[in-house]
Amino acid sequence: MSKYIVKSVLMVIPTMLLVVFIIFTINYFTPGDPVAVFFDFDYTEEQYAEKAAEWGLDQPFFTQFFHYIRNIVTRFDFGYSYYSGNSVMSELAARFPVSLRLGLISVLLTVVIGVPFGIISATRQHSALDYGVTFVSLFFAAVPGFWLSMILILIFSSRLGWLQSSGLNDWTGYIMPVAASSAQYIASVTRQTRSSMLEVIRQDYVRTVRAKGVSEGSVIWKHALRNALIPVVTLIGMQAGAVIAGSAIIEAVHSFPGMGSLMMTAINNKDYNTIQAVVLLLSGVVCLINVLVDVIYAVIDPRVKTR
Amino acid sequence: MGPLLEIQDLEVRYFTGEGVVEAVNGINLTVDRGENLGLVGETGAGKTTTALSILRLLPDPPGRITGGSVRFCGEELRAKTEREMRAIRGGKISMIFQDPMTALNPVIRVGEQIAEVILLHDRISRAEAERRALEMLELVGIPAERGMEYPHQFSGGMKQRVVIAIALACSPELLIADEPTTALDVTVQAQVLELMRRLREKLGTAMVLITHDLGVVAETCDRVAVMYAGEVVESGSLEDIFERAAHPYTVGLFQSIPSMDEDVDMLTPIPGLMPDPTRLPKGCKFHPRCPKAEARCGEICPGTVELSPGHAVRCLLYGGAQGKG
Amino acid sequence: MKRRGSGRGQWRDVWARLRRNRVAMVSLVLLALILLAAIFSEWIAPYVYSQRDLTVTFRFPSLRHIFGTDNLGRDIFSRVLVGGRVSLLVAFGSVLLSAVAGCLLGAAAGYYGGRVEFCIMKLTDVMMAIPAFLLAVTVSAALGTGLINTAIAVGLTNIPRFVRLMRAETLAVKGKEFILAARSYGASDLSIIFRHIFPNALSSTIVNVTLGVGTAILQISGLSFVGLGVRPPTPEWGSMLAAGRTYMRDFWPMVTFPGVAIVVTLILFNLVGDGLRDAMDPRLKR
Repeated sequence: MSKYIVKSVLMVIPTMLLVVFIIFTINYFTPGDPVAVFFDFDYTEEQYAEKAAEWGLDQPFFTQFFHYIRNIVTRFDFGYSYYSGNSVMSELAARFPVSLRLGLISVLLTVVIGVPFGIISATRQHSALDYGVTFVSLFFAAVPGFWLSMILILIFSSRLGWLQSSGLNDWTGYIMPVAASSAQYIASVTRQTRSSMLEVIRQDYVRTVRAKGVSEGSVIWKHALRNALIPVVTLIGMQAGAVIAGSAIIEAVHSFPGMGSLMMTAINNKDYNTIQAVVLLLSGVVCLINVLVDVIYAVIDPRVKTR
Repeated sequence: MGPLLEIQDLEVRYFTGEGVVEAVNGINLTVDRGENLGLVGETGAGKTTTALSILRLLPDPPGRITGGSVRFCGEELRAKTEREMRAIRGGKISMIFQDPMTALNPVIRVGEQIAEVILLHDRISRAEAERRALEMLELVGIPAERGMEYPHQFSGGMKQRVVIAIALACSPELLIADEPTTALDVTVQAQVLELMRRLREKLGTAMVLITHDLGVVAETCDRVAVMYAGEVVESGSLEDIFERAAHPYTVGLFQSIPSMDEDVDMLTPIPGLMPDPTRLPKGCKFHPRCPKAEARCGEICPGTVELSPGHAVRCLLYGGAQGKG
Repeated sequence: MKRRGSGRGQWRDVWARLRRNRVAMVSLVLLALILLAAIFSEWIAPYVYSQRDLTVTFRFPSLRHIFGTDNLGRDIFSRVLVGGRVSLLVAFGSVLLSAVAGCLLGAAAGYYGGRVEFCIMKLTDVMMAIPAFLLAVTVSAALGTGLINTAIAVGLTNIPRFVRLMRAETLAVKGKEFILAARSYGASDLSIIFRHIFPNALSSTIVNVTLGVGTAILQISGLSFVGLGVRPPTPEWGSMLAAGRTYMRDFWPMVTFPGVAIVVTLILFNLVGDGLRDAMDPRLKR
């Protein structure tokens, strides 16, 4: 077991290196001259050469890449913002925890709401509750988070005046962003749990369990649930990325002081280095969530460890 | 004391989107204590449905018992509450399913799966139940220490041994075995059958053995019932069926398998296929495929005729027109 | 037993099962209507989508403008229709790209195994480690905006799911007798992949394409919303929402109707996808 965990943690390192390489390469070949943009195309040869040297852009590709990796690993330094000229990390430092909190709360809500609703819905198939849950989750699975954000603002800020439409002054500032970024994924986890549960209930071993005289509650919660959760865990692992990426746009809609808002600004300013840093940080978070998912996977499915 | 299990006029239907499947159509069966009944027939004849109906484990929807009675030790099982049925399942009547590969919960330790059934039906402590579970494992020929392993670490034959251990852990009075060896290798089949025989003799358990393998029946059973399209077309002692088969379908079954004793030049398969269970033929359900069919067979439903004590057949050749249908 | 790849009869069965599924049939018809409306949007639209009329800006829905008019006096209903054509066109284009590339790579990985498989699957894993939308943002920033670039950005992002699917399908049939038989009479690798492996994976690919179009619509509208993807003045649901965001406090129609269009289209794609899956894999029917 511990060997399995160590292995999946170690696997993060080559994966993240490749992630950095891919993103770095795409950015390297992105057209546009960041130095020229920084000076608004009004610079002397000297100024240009000095800035390019400061940012390391005068080096060949692999040297740049090597420095980039080294600075991240040794100093957690993601270089300079092509727009403001400041260190990217100094701008991200305050925003990272805020975004992380938003993302993790959303992922957590996805699990604690989606899974139980899926189970209840499946165990009472064809009941009014099942139809209700199915209908609501069908609807929300199709609602883009950023649109939900705007509709929530329209209703709860503009009309009712209950919540602040933007900013983060106290915990209520989290309500709308969390709701908007998790609704779609709660819905799809509910749908997946329901169909996975329905499939498991029809399996032979569940019939064996019933033939043993086990009560219905124990059939569901002890025998079926663990099996049904296996594909759900996979789905949650895959969606953690989507939740976190989706919350980036949502942050922008709510002017939420996180990395997402920063990224949106960076997109408008063509500040590719900042975009790159945000993408990499969020990918790193997703990778770590996936390690956790792997561990949970091994706990519920004994077949994984021996594989 | 009456028979252990008595099924009368049992009727089961599956209500599906494609129509009503007439899976079991008024069958009668009895099993005495300690007796071995072989339930024979092609795939789709309604054998498994009958078995599941006894334990009231039909998938509902779409399956439902629509008529008849199932009595166990003189008590009507259809009238029992779900709680009472749970006490019977695994305790007094247990069942072995066809495919051992999928019959065990993949995420629970094997020993725990055996202990669970003991804990449910016997008033003993958890530790005691676990100890007895390991004993059962040893009894079916698996080292006790493997009780800590998961099903995927076992071969098919060993899984079926575990399933047998679960089924017999509470010394049930009746064991329903649904094609217990079909999914296994031939060499393993013999071992598993021998194991079942030994344990049943030790515990005095009666058995309903569902199979399409007449060889297995000849080795294990005292009495045989032959099913076709949801009906028992012939039943009797092993000799009645194997030596004095009366129903054209039973005769056809024997002609379609190679025999060790007789030197036959050619096997004669039964022509045609099982009828579509949503549109069963009128009259005798076998008449479209029957070599001895007459015009009236398509109109009159044959009733059950007793040829000799215990040997019953459902065919117009032997009289007993039921009239309807 | 499920019989697969048995030719036309199989598809007739699928169609017969699909026709009995009332929800899926209704969704299919509605989706077809939406697709037709999108294709012929410029003829159906009551106004020219780009026609400005500064005398009628910010009109709330009325009989003349059923969805109202926007900040430049353009008819929102007409723009939602034409925007739908853009969204759907880009979505279909991107899914086509990811399905073709993904299926080829997946089949190669599953069929050849070894180093080929290792490289393809490692790359797939790495791509899946980057949240899809963020990868789309990066690629889209590199390629620039526009219909084709957006389709490529979103298409690239979604290749991994098709690679995984096709690899799994290939592995599932690789050892089957009919593949061995084809090999034994000397069929080439390519012909085995195209004539035996692809047809067997067709049904699950169709389901994934259907569901993938929905995902693509979401990603495209997201990209356009943040200022990448499709830029104004070309109407696209996401960019229309972005434009409406500025005025949302006082004028709700601009941020409401394009969003409703996305939601309705996505629900229909999901329902049709679910219906197709149930029809193609009757074991899972419930």
